[in-house]
Amino acid sequence: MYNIIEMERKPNDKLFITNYNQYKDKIYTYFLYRVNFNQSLAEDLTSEVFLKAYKNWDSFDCERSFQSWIYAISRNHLLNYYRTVGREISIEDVGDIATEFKIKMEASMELEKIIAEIYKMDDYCREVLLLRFVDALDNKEIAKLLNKDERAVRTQISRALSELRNKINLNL
Amino acid sequence: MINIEDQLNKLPQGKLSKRVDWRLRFIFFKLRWQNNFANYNFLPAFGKIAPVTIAVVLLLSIVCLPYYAYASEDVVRGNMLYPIKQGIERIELSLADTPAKKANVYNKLAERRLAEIEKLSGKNSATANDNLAATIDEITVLTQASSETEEQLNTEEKKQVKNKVAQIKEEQLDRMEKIANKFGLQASDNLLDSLAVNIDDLKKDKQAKNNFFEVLSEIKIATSTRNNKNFAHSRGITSGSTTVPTSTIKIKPNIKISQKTISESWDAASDQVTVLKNDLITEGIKNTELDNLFGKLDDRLNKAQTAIKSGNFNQANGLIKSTEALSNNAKHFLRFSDKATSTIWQATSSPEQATSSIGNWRKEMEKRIKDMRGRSGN
Repeated sequence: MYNIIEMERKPNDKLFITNYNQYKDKIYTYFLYRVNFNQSLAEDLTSEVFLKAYKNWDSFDCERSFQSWIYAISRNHLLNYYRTVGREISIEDVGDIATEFKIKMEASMELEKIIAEIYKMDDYCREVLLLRFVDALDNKEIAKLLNKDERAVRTQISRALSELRNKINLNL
Repeated sequence: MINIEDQLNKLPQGKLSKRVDWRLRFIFFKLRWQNNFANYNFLPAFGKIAPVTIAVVLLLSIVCLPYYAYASEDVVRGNMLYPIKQGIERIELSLADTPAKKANVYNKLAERRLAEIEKLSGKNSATANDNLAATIDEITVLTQASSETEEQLNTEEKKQVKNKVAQIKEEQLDRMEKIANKFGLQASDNLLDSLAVNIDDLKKDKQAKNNFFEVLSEIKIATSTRNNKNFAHSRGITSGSTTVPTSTIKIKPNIKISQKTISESWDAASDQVTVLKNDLITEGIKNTELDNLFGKLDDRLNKAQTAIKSGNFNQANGLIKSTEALSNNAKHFLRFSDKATSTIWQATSSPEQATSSIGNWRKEMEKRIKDMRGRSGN
C-alpha cells in the first residue's frame, strides 16, 4: 500500500499528461488575455511553458498543487517575454484590444466594454481581476502567485471590482 | 444596473487548437524516448546498423551453423547441435536413391561415429559414458544396415561394401578395446555392456569369417563336381549377417525363446563365470578389481534369473549375453600385472576354453556341412 502511494507521489509521464489535459486550455487562456488576444502568440507561449514544465517534471513535488506550479511557470515565462518585447498598453490601444477580444472570443458587447475598462486599469488591478475571474484562482492562490498577502489581494480585488462597477455604470 | 461579478464570470475561455495540442504531445513522446535512451549512447549507432547486423547474423546462423554441426567432429552426442547433425544425416540418407549409395552413406556415417567415439572417450562422466555407449551401438546398427543392402548389389558393389564394412568393424574393435582398457570396470553399466557385447560380437564375427574361409575350401573340394545348387543354398545360410551375429544389442521381438533354452544358457553362463573365477584368482590382480568384476557378473546373472522366473526371457537373454560377453572379454577391463597377463589372456581369449560360443558355433557349422554332404550324396 505504501509503495502504491509512493509511486503515485513520484512524478511520471502519465501524471504529467493527465495534468496537461486538465490545464492546457487554462494556460492558453491565461496567455491569451495577457497578449492582447493574439492567438498564435498565446499558443507559442503555452507550448513553451508546457515544454519547460515537462523538462523540469522530475523536480516537481507531487505533494504540491500542479495548478500553482504551472501558473508560476507561466507567470515567470510571461514576465520574461514582456522583458524582451516590452509591455506598454496605451489608452489608444485599448479599443483595438477590446475589438480583437470581441471578434476572437465571440463575446458580447457588455463583455467587450468590461474588457476595455479592465485594460484601462493599472497592471496590478487588471492582473488580480483576470486571475480571479478568468483564471478562476482563489485569493490564496493569487496571493501566492503574486507573492502578496492574501488580505491585500482580497482588498485589491474588492477595490478593483468597485472601480470597475463604477466605470461600467457610469458609461451606461 | 449590471452585476459586474456575474459579467466577469462570463468572460470566455480560450481553447488550445488541436494542431498545437498534437504537436506538443508528439514532442513529449519524443522527449520521453530521448530521456529513456539517454544513458545508452551506443543505441543510436546500433539502431542504424541493427537491420544489417541482424540480417548478417541470421544468414550466418542459417548457413554456417548446420554446416559446422554436420562437418565438425566436435559435435558429438550430448552436444546441443547434435540433433541438427542427425537431421542433416537423415536427409543425406533419404537422398541416397540406390542400394549402393545407401550402403555408402551407412558406411560413411559409421566412420563418422567412429571419429565421434574418439572424442567422447575423452570425457569421463556418467552422461558421456551413456552417450559413448549409444554411439558405439549406432555404429553396429549402421554396419548391419550396410550389410543388409548387400543382397541388392551387384558383385562388384557387394565386394566393395563388404570390404568397407570389414574395415570399419576392424577399426571399431580396435577402438573399443582401447576404450575398455581406458575405462576398465569404472565405466557406467551401459558402456560396460555396450563395450563387452560389441567386442564379443566383433570377435566372433572375425573368428567366424576365418572359420568360414577354412570350411569354404573344404566345401569347394567336396562340391566342385556335384550339386552347385546345394552349395549356393549353404552359402546363403552361412554367409553374411543372417547367421553371423553382428549385434546382440537389440533382441528382435519376434524371436521366441523357450524356458528350457534360456535356463540352459543361464547355466552355461554361470559355469563360464565359475571357470573364469578359478582362472583369475592368480597373482597380480587386485582383489578390488576381481570383486568388482565378479560383483558385476553375479549381479547380471541374478537379474537374469529373476527375469527367467518372471517369464521375461528376452530380458534374461540380453543379460546372459552381457554376462558371457563380459566374462569372455574380462581382460580388456581388468588392470593386472604383466606376470598374470599371459594366464588371463589364455583364460579369456582362447576360443576353445573361454569363448565357448565360438566353439559351439564351429561344431554347428561342421554338422551342417556334414548334412549337406549327405544330401548331395543322396
